Amino acid sequence: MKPPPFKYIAPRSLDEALAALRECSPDAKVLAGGQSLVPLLNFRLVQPSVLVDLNGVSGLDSITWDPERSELVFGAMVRQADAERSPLVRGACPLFAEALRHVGHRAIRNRGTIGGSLAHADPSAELPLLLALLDGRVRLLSVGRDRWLGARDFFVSYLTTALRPDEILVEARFRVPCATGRTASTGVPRPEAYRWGFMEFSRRAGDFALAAVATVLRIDRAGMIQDAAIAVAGGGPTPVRASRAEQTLVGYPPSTHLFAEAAHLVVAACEVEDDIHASAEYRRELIGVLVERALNQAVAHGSADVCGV
Amino acid sequence: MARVTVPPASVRETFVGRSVQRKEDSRFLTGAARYLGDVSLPRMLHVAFVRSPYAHARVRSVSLEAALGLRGVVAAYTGPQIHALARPIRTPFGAASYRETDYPLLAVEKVRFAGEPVAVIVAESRYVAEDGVGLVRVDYEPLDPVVSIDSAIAPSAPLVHAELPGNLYCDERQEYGDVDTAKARAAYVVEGTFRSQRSAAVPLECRGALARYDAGTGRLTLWTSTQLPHVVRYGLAECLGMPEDQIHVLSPDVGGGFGNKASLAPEQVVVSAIARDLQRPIKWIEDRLENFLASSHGQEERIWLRLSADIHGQFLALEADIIVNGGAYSIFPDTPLNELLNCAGCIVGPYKFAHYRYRARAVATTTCPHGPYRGVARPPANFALERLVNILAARMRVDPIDVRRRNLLSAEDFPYRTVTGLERDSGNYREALELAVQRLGYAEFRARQAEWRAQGRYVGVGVACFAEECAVGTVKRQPRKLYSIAGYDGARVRVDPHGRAIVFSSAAGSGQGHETTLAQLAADELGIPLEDITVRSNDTEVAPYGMGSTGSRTAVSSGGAVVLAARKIREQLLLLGAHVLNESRDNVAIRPGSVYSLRDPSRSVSIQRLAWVAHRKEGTIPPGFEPGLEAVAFYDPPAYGVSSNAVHAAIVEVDPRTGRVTLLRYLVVEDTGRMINPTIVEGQVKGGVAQGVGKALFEEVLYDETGQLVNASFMDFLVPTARELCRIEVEHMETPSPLTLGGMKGCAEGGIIGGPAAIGNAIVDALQGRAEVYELPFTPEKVWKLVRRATPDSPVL
Ligand SMILES: Cc1cc2nc3c(=O)[nH]c(=O)nc-3n(C[C@H](O)[C@H](O)[C@H](O)COP(=O)(O)OP(=O)(O)OC[C@H]3O[C@@H](n4cnc5c(N)ncnc54)[C@H](O)[C@@H]3O)c2cc1C
Repeated sequence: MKPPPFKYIAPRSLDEALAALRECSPDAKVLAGGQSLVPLLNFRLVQPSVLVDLNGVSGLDSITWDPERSELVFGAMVRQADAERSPLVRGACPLFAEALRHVGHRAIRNRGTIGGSLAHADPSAELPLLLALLDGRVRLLSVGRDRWLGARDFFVSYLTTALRPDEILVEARFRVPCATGRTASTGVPRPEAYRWGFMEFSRRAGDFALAAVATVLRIDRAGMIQDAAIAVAGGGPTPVRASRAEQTLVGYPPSTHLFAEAAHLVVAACEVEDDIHASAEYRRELIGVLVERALNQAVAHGSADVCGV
Repeated sequence: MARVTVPPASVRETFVGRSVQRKEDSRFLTGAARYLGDVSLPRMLHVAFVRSPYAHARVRSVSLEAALGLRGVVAAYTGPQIHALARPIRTPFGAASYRETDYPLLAVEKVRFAGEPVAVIVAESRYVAEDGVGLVRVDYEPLDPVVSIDSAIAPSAPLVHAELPGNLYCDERQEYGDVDTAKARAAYVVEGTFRSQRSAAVPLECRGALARYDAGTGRLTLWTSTQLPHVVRYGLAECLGMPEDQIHVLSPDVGGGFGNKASLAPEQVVVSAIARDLQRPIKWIEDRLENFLASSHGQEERIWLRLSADIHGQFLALEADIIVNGGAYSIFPDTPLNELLNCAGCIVGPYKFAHYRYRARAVATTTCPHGPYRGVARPPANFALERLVNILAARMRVDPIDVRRRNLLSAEDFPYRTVTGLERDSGNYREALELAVQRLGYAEFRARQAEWRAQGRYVGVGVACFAEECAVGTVKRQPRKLYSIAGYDGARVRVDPHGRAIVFSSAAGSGQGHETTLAQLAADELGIPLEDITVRSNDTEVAPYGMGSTGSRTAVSSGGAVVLAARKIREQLLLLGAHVLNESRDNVAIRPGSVYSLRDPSRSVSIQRLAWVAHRKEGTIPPGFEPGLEAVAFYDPPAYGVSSNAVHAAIVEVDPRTGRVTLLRYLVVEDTGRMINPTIVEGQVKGGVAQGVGKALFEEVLYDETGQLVNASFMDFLVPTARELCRIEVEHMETPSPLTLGGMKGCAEGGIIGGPAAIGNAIVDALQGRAEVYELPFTPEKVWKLVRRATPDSPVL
């Protein structure tokens, strides 16, 4: 459990980092929080000859709100724990903070980064789930190239993304659905009338999810669902966005029957296989249960508890 | 026997019985402890092992050339090369059907489990050694693996060892009494096949060894993280062809053992052989992956059990067919038979059975060798028996508590020896159950349970009763031919001229608090304050010969030796005190700090003063009194050991839709005899309970059908954390053993024993008895399947 030899580069700026990557790719790896990469190195499951450490690169650690687009904006090196504790994040999107609480343990979130989790692309991970749910996008930079990708295009397969070896994920944006777009005097956005639900099933607290489901619902005064988003982690090689299920919900009032039908459609949208943690059959069942529970939680959250206090 | 309340420390004069703070804690808690990894020697080299990726394969060739060409690599050895320096491990065992096999130090010709060492690279650093491992080329010819118990006994199974027809390490049969006649009176006969998963002990500090050979004296020193320094030395001497006295085995602080460090590892022999060959210190620190793959696993058993009872639920007879998955090699010194025969012996439980018969087999498979893990055999045995008792109760339509009430050993029964030769010397078997029932609020719980059910909540209660055999002496061991295991323990007590004492003990602690408990025992005998006593152990050079710390034996066995050695010094202090006080020997006594005159207690002389005199610094000593204050003693525990007893009770909630089992309450009522230190006892109990909960709900070493271990990391091997546990309630009862010095019994293994059965019974209770659980662990998926299967004709929901 010792890593193979590698060259270590610690750039101070993004330009230096990009130049180093360009020079050394495809044999270089970016080091962020190290919570996934370092174990892989120690098991010698990855053997890059160069590590480009982003920890000394300035300007990648801010959390901001883009009122125009109603987006939460994270620099790639924002630590998961800082995002979880950020008043901005908690105010704009309590769902985001709640989901982050499920990422490993505090010690891991203290080091692990937003960008690292997205780039690592574990299909059971919470951040990729959020990117899919909140119509998020990531900015990928390399020397002479700058592109944005949404979740659907970014996540390719299990632990695989569209990132090229010379690219760095520098920023991630998550759209927080806001009914009015109104911004409070504190500068914290106050989206209204959206409710959220988040349900995760893992064997132990802090483990990767066997399955996790997040949902955002908008229910109008008449009690009808006007808008719905549902995403699943652990439902296939990439995070799953269940659009057919979402459509089924729209136009109806919440009911046990409706949610069961939605759960059925979400499960149908997943591609699960047997693994050491669960059979496909059981995982499908879990996903269905979690969908129902997340939807019920969203309803129970009530209007005082909507997405964004 | 009545419940003993422990008086508060302030009113007690003795150290024994008090929850004094652990002497070792400050160094552990401040990071000042020193483990094997902290030991470093000049000119030291490091090794890394090339390990087989296959479960079963012929080794056609091993090429070390590329590795030897790497800068920093100093040497490398294959199986044949290492066996030119040392012999394979062999473990005799006295059982008629047992067949001995070689446990190679590095594979020769064949590998028999994934992770088996095939070659070793010696280098300037562990990093370079691992780089070297990557350059070794091994040509394997894969063979069919044999992974499970069922596949090992299949008629067409490939043979793991040519010397073991039918893949059987042994096949033992035994009958006590007359089972068939007894069964003829049975009104109820219940049976089931119960499976206990493969467990891993996962001590936080993995194993490791650092060997230094001194060419000048021909002596070998091995620093190694072990629970049995003398056993390791015995085994090393045999493998290396050296006399035992030329080998010194010692451990720095040991970061947990739980049985995982109670065997001789091939790696320990390999580093010793290389140190002697290269005449440079050689260090191996096992990493977590190696520990999972290739140290030892425990408690994988398939137990078929049949229980016959009369119309009142009185037990009549027991029949068992037990199979242990012994893995690829017979481990030293336990062999798979330790698990197997312990299971066959202890499965009679805390009950009386005059009629019992068993068949007991240990099979060879292409998996990691099977070794001891905390509780050895008792968690699986208790799981099978206590589940079956509940099944009987369900059949009889009576509460499971009542069946136990009818059958548990009672005060009139003691001393009772089971037909299998286990000593139930004393205890509180029935009283513990009643106390558990009371503490649980059993009747109220049953009422609440019905309410919860009406609300759609599935909450259940389960209990498990057991006796914990501990501290077996040499007599019962002798027929087993386990010559490497002493069976007794030794202690040396030395009082220095300033009146401070050092206790040298053959115990080998791995975190239990021996430095405190053994000092407490010595303090009471010597009249020396606890803070003036230190305990040294885990070292063959400082300790008298003895066994070490496994099998819940240290309080009784090493404790007994400490008491005996301290009594010798006590006698010297009394003689000397009488001389100084001008009294006869019979007219003086010892009290904390001094020897005093019984006729005039105001006349006394301090222990410090006596120590000073004894060492001839000043004053006179009686004629014939040897200078110095030092004594050695050995203690052989009762021939058939002694037994602690306990009741474990769990209250769980089952989520019928996900199968998740949540612990709501966990209660332990235990009687471990005289407690030296109740806080330490509680620590032992609670730590054990956490492991029992792990065994019941989380932990399982998983091999796929090709023999690959698929969850060899803490990400996938699920040890419960504080967040998966609930508060553990512990109630002590204290019945001193009439057989041991000081009345102590053992408490190191009990904590883990009751969890699987108590939690299993609680799950079944939560599901209203519509499903039975036979297989550990109860994962959410398994429970979910049970719920679903229960649905058609007996709907749970
Ligand atoms: C015990 C444990 C439990 C965990 N549990 C969970 C959990 O429940 N849920 C969960 O989501 N995660 C969990 N994790 C993983 C954790 O969230 C990691 O932090 C995350 O997966 C990777 O983030 P990192 O910053 O540590 O990235 P690193 O480990 O440094 O990098 C991971 C990968 O991403 C690449 N990379 C990193 N940053 C960039 C970038 N900016 N641009 C391009 N490529 C980049 C690296 O090259 C590497 O391939 C757990 C980890 C541990 C150790």
